[in-house]
Amino acid sequence: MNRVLSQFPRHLERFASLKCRQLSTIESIKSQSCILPFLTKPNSLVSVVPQRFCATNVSSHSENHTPVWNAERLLSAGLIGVMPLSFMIKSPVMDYALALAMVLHIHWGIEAVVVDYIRPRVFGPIVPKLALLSVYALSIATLAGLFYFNYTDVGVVQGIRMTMKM
Amino acid sequence: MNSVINLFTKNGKLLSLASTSHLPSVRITSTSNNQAAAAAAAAATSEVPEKRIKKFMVYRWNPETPEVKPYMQTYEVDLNTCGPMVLDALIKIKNELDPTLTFRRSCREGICGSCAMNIGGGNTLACISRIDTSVEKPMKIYPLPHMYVVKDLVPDMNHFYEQYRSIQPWLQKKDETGFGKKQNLQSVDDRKKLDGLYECILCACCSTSCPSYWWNSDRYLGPAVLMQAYRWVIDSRDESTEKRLDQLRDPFSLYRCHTIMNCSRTCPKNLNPGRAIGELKKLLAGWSKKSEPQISGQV
Repeated sequence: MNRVLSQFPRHLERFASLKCRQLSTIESIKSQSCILPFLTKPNSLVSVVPQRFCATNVSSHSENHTPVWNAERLLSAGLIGVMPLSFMIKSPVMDYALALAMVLHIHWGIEAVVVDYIRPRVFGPIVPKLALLSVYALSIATLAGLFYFNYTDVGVVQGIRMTMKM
Repeated sequence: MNSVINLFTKNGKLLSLASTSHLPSVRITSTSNNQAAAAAAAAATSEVPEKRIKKFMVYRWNPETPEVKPYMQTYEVDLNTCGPMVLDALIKIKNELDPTLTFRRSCREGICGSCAMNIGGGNTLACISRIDTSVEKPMKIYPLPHMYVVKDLVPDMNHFYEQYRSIQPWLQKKDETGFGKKQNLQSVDDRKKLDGLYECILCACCSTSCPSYWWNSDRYLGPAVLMQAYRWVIDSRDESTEKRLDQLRDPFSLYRCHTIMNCSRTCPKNLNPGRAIGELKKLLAGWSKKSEPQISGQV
């Protein structure tokens, strides 16, 4: 081992002696780090994985994202129909459908952006949670605002029509 | 510092390139019987061809001098005395100009994946990407993007390999008695489903071209690993399909893919990881199902 390490720069030895306590977030690694015999050996080159890679705070892996993804796809496909239909059929039902579909679609899009970019690895444990919370707050406020507009005023569709006429 | 490179050209001529540090000289020895070729070779020895100096700007960083920030070093290479591929130029630079330049290479024919790097803005294998022969523009060479750099063009691949390990890339059967002693049967059609998947050489060009992988590589598996996950999911002989799919259901392992498709665009082997990820999503969503194996059992 010393022979191998001597071929590598000194600072890597420093890395190598660091034992990766939380190796990775990937479930199988987490649960069976014993399947990686040479990872647990200190001084092994494989443990060069810098500690920065060893994410400590991860979303729970029991969470099943599949239904959300399904809903996202179905809603995206549905919007192709809902958008023109709401302008063709004058009905408060279509107003509510359009408001709900648009807000949900935009919410999922923004949520993905926030989850992708405001990461625990960069911003620490608190900021990402706050950012996500504010996305939910913004979406709920938007939905409430649009529903209020539908209920008390001319409705979303008519509102868009009037804006375009200006 | 003298070095001699012997190259056999297409028509069997032995081309010996000898060069000193400052005065490269070219000697062409013809071993073919073709008179015209011999005459051409003789002409080449008599008049020195005009140099085609191409600039190569290469990312340099030395871990032993961490106080020095990474910088770009420019090397000038005469394309007349250099092989056609970027790897040839890098080897020439290392042999003749700067022995401290560090990069990985092995097979020089696009099958080992060692020399994956960012060349002219795209991730590819240095050994199978041609040098742009227009000498006006310098060629920029960086390590694979968003990877920790060990030295110069050598990225740290450990995390990538750990992710590959996490999908358990081996054949799994429910009943493993006598496993490995007999052959597992697979029909020709079932075998065809693995085409375009098994050829992956894990060079990490695709994963490191993916913005989602750049931002979330600690939790997102990346296209290369996901394509291999799919390769085992649809293998007719493998019986851990459900377990393999369940491993990908969390919001990060698979679903950070936003179909950006840089992976399929950059793949030096012309594979399509983007499609494989799409198929995985369909399987997870229940919109498609793994078909029953046409043949099973062992002989």
